[in-house]
Formats: sequence, C-alpha cells, structure tokens
Amino acid sequence: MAIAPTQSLPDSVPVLLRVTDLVIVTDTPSGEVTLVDGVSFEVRTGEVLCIVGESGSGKSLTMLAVMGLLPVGLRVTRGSIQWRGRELLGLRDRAMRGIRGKEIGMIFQDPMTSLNPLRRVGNQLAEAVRLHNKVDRKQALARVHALLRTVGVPQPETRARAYPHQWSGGMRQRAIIAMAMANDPDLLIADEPTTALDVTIQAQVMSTLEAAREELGSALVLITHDLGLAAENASRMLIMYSGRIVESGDVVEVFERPTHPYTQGLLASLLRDDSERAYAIPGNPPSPRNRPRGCAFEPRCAVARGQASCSEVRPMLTDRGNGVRSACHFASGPIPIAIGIRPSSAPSEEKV
Amino acid sequence: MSEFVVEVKDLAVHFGRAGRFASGRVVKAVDGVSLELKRGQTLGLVGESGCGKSTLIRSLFGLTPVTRGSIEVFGKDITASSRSERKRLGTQMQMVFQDPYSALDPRMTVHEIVAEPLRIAGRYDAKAVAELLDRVGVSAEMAQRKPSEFSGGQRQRVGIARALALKPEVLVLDEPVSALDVSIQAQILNLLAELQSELQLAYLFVSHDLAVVRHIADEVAVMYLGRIVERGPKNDLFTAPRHPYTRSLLASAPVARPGAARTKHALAGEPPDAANPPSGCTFRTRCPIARDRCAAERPALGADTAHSAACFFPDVAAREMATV
Repeated sequence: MAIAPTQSLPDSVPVLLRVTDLVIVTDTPSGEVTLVDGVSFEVRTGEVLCIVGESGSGKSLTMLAVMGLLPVGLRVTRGSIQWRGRELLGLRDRAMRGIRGKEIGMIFQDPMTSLNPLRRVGNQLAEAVRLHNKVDRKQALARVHALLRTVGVPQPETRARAYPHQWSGGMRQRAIIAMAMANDPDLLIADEPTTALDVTIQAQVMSTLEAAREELGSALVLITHDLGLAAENASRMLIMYSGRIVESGDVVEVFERPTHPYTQGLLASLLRDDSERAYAIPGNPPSPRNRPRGCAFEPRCAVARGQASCSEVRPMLTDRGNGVRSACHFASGPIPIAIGIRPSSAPSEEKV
Repeated sequence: MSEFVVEVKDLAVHFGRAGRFASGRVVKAVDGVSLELKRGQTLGLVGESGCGKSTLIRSLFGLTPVTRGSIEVFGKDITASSRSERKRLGTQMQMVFQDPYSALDPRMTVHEIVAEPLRIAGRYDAKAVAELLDRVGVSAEMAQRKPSEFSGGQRQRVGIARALALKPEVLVLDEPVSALDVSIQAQILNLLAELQSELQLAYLFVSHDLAVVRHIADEVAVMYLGRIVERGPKNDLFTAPRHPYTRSLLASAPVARPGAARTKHALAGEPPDAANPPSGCTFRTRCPIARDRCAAERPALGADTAHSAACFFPDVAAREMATV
C-alpha cells in the first residue's frame, strides 16, 4: 500500500502505536533531569511518520522507550505506550522480546556497529529469522537470501558468507533493513538510517527502505534531523525541541504553514543559494538541566521577547486547524511576523 | 607573485608502492589534481567518502608524501621546501576540523587552546586571545571554561579562533559544519563569511553537503576517485552541471519541499575499489550515459575554460539527465 506523501490518513485507519504523556528521566548527582517531557503521539497502520529534531531533542530516546531499549540509568516515570491497545510499559522482557524484532522492526543509524563483526552476515540474519519462526538453519538461510535480494544485494548467496567488514556501508545498511524486515513487522522504526552514508548511497538506501515498507504494508517511524528526508518520505511529522513536541501535522501543512516559531526558524535556516546570509536561529538549545520554566524555546524566540507568559507558562499542544498542532502561546497571534524574519535581520553578534 | 595564494598543480598521492612487503596494489588516492585558491574567495571541494579529499588536505600540510606534482603556497613549492620553511609557510595556512568534540584538548581552558599556537610561535598575548574569542562570539566569562561545557557550535567557534590566532591568509575547512545541528550551522556559516570579508581570507571548504557548498563557495570542484571531474564558478556548476556524476549528486540530495518533483537519477552501484579502478573514465561503471569510448580513453578536465568537466559527452548528460 503506497501512501502519497501529501496526504494524511483518515481517522478510520487503526492506530498501531499510541504514546501518551511519556516522561523519561535520568538521575544525576544534582538530581533528576527530565530528558523527554510529556510526549504524546500515535502511529497508524501503514503511515510514514517522521520525527524531526536536533541532537538532544529526545527523538531517539522516545523511540528507544517504545522498543523497551532505554539505556541503563534512564527510566520512564510517567505516561503510557500502547501497542495495538496493549500496554508495553512494565511488560516482562520475555513478552517484549516477542514484539520487538517481530511486530516492530528496528533500523539504527550506524551500520558499522549494528552487526557483529565476528559473525558472517548471513548467519546473523538467519538468527533474527529463527528467533521468531520455527524453521531450521537451512530454511532460515534461504529466507535470508530472498530478503537480501529484495533489498538489492547482488549475489546474496555469496555475499551472505562474508563478514560485515567485507561489506560497504551502504550494503551493510541494506542488510540491516533486510534483518528488520525478516519477520514482516507492522511497524519499522528507523533512526537516522542514512546519516552515516554518502548522498548517492543515501538515495539508494531510502528507496530500498521505501520499497521494503510498501511490500510489507507496514508503518514507518523515521527519526531524522534532515528536513529534506522528512519532506521526501513522510506523510506526517513531529517536530521536537528540548524533550517536547512543539509542532505536529501533515508534512505539506507544516512545511507550507509552520505555526511554531522554532519550526519557522528551522525552515528559514534551510540554505538558499540566492541569499547572501543564512538565517540563523540565535543562541543554543537549553540544557535539559536548566530548561526554562515556560516555553523551552523562549530564550531564542523572536516572538516571545519580553512576554511573561512565554517565560512562565509552558504552552500545550493546541489545534491550529488542518490537523496541525503546535505548542505556542502566540501561534494564533503575531506569528506571521516571525515568518518575515529574513536573513538580513538575523542577529549574528549574539554572544554564546 | 601569482594571483593565487595556493596553487596545486597535477598533484598525485599514491599509496602502497614498492618495498619488500608491498602487496603490489597501488591506491591512487589523489591522481593529477590541480586547483587554485584566490585571496578572499572560497573554493568548495565536494566529494563522497573515499574520493581522496582528506588525502588532498593532508598533502597541503605536508602530512603525507607526495608522489608527483607541486603545491605552491604564496609562490613557494612546499613539496620541495625544507622543514623550517614549511613551518613558516604553515602559519599562513591553518585548518578547521570537522568534529569540534575531538579537535579540542579537553584538559585545557578555551583561552589556553586559542593561546597555544601563539605560545608556540613565541608571541603569546592575552589581549589578542581575548579579542579573537570575542570576535568569534565566545564571551570573556566562557573563556576560562573547558570545552566540555561548550555545545558543538560554541566549540566550532573556538576551533575557528584557534585557526585564526597566527593571522593566516588561508583556512582549510574540513566539513566544518557537518557535525552541527541545522539551527547552528547557519550561525557558523555566517561567522565564516564575515571573517572572510574582514580579513580577506582564502577558504578551501571541503564538504559532502551540496547545499552548504552552494551557499558559501565562489568556485566549486567535484572530486571522484582521486580526480577532479568537474570544476567551475558556483552558479554555472549548480545550474548547468556538465559531468554526469555532478548531475547525480545534485539529484540525490533530498529536497526540503514536500511534493517536489523527484527526478532521481539515483546512481546504481558504489564507487569502485581505488586500488583497482576501471579503465578510461573511472566513473563509467556507474554512469547512465557511458559509451564505448569511455572505457578506452580517459577524459581530461579542460584547463582553458572556467567551467569544465572531465567527460566526453557533457551534452548527452545535459539532455538525458535533465532535472526539472
């Protein structure tokens, strides 16, 4: 089932994954630090959802929590993660393993480290197949060869006998995609799947991923910092900033009529060849240790200047029409002015 | 003196040559590259991993033995210079690294990091360091802190201040914004543009990111498997690319506009093994318009025109690989 990237799904399409008010914290010597702060969203059957955010925005942690793979020292203190109506938080490891890798497939950023360097690629993939299916080694390998062929690995029977270091980065990432597909998952989660790859190889891998997704009819959550990848591949997107969702909605709507000043700033800072100066959002994202009390974007925001509500009161995600939601006190007010910020007026002498 | 501050002529860097333990495989990491840097101008160097851009940079600083060709910095060939002469020339050309997390000594304060080149040159001046940091946008209060307290963008500012400490005329920037977040990239690019016009710096800006190069460069050179396959003024090269590889690169980059027409000439295959390159044109194994001649002969980059491509069939490329 192909979803044109320009349309969102109707409400009748069943929800696969529903994350509600998720809070992830870590303990530090100076107390608890909140890394993901009340994130809610859902993923429907067959849709491509893109989570866009900069490093430290919490986009990867959110999806690691969904997979039950949070690093040691991090914990969920609030919220719920429902997979087809079943609560995943608090699920026993054994039950979680039955879902992870079977119903939910995962693709991580670095194809160099996602494979065991000491084992032949084919055997590793066969293990993923046998983990969830009662087949013998030979049948599993046959399935692996078929999968590798689907993702465009030439001569899979020969290549499968090689070790990961004998594969190029692009080919390794194809192997990872094949492994994620092994058990016909209903949801694929891909975290920066092409960031480590060259641009021509990136294009190959993204089209492989899209073809794989279409064949399975599965949903895809694509985590990326690249707005170009989001525009080309997603039907819906979430923009995260400092552990929170600041805007969500249909990709076309968000790109054409962004309502949150951060989204507007990100889109304005896309480099245009016709401009002398690039538009730069001034300042730096806050550390999660001292996130502002109100809106986390307030210190860098062109709209907030001096508004007490921004520095004191945390804005909640609010409907803006056309399925777009954003967390800003002034999204219906002076925001169009913010779009007017153009390169010439960008503050550059800001001290960091 | 020539109009160029740095002039690289027919540079070749080959690895794995003769010797008792030689495997007989020669990797031509850089193979006949010529390029020029002009005062106050930016040359963008684009290429994918393994194309030889890092080796090229290393050779500019005398960090790798050169097989053939010359590298003239202010008219002096550094491949034929003595160590002390290279050291003197070296102060005129400085480097900014990709990863601001590993390029700064974590045990030194930011002030010390920027002061270090001055100390080595025997002209430490606390005021000069403070001015440098102020110029790149690091506050005096931050100067006494260590890099671990800095964000990626702030660290890159420190890296730039350090590179400028000895008042060089040339900066070699190796992927200087690739490790930074989108909202921070533009800050650093703007800073670099300001510094260039104030100090009349020449930049060699190496990047795989076409949007960044298109934004900052005056001239662009595209590298593939050790050679420059196309070079020209930025606007000519981006609006009317002549080499099929350049066309594919441009078509492969994602466009941040939903529903944008996608005419992808997604390249099939991967770059060939540098130790065993194809005959003739090294790009022909992936080229959608390759002909018999491409396997028999190696196309050369024209030296006479400002915009030229090492391809026998640039007009076919323009016709058959047209983007919307």
